[in-house]
Amino acid sequence: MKKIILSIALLASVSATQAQKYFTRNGHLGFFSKTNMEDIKANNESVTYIVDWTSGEIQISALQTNFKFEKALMQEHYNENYVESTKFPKATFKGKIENVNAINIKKDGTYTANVSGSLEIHGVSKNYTTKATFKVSGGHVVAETKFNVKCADHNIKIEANLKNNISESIEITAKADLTELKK
Amino acid sequence: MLKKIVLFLVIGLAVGLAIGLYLYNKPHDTAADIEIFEEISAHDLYAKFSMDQKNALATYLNKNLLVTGNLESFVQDSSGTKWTLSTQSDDLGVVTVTFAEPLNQKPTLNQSVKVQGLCAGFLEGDELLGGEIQLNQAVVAQ
Repeated sequence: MKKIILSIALLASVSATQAQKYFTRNGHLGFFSKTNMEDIKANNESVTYIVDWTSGEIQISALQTNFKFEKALMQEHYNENYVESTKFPKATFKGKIENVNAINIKKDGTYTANVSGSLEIHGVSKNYTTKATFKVSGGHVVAETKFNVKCADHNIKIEANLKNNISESIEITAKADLTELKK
Repeated sequence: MLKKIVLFLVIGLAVGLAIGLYLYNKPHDTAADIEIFEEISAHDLYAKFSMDQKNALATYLNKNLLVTGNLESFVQDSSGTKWTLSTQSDDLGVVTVTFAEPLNQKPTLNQSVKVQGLCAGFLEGDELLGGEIQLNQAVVAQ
């Protein structure tokens, strides 16, 4: 009898663990470059976010060709000259919510947490730490953060004649409305 | 003679400026503007990416694909229109289709649909979430 109870408890804990994953395939990633000459921004609304609330692991993946620019020509230059999207089609972030236990996804509220991990752009990975907010409401978790990335850190070269048009430091915004992942 | 040179220079500059302006402001291509590379089902396309992602990317990246599949879900909001096609794969992988222009009519779920879209690539899932092939600048195929 004890074995049966133990097995049921184990099964329950396994399913409870699996239920701790949240995701979206419609997440947002945006970047913004500001110089005296011009502002350049692009948005990608088809970003996959997966968050495991048990381990705190967070995974973000985006396809480079899905960043939309106002001008088609800018988009072409971004894909061909800067991120070389044929060679490096994805941007990924793999990291961890450091104080994941401070976030109660069963209780509505706004929580802040440090997220750290490795961002790979243009085939080059670099570690980042940023503060993120997690707004829990009615079974959804809206995750949001903003941080800066230097082009040179990811081996993205800006031509000398465009140094005044493209900022060396790009502001990245990330936002995702996450719901429970059920198989 | 000098007048002719000045005239040629002015015309050359004007043409150069016009070409530059056109290129700077040229619209984004949609799938309707580009020749179809291949007609394929969502199931077969997903199978190709699942089996050999590198080879599938080399074949399909940025290509205009005419894809048939069952409509699993859709999003129609201020950010645009996006359809998710089932691939009937074991890992519940999908093909997501982002339209070049928002669609006015709501589609019927679980029906076979045919779309044209530019292949943006493949995102792996994890043990619970299947992978995803993304098509963008899409149009409903006639």
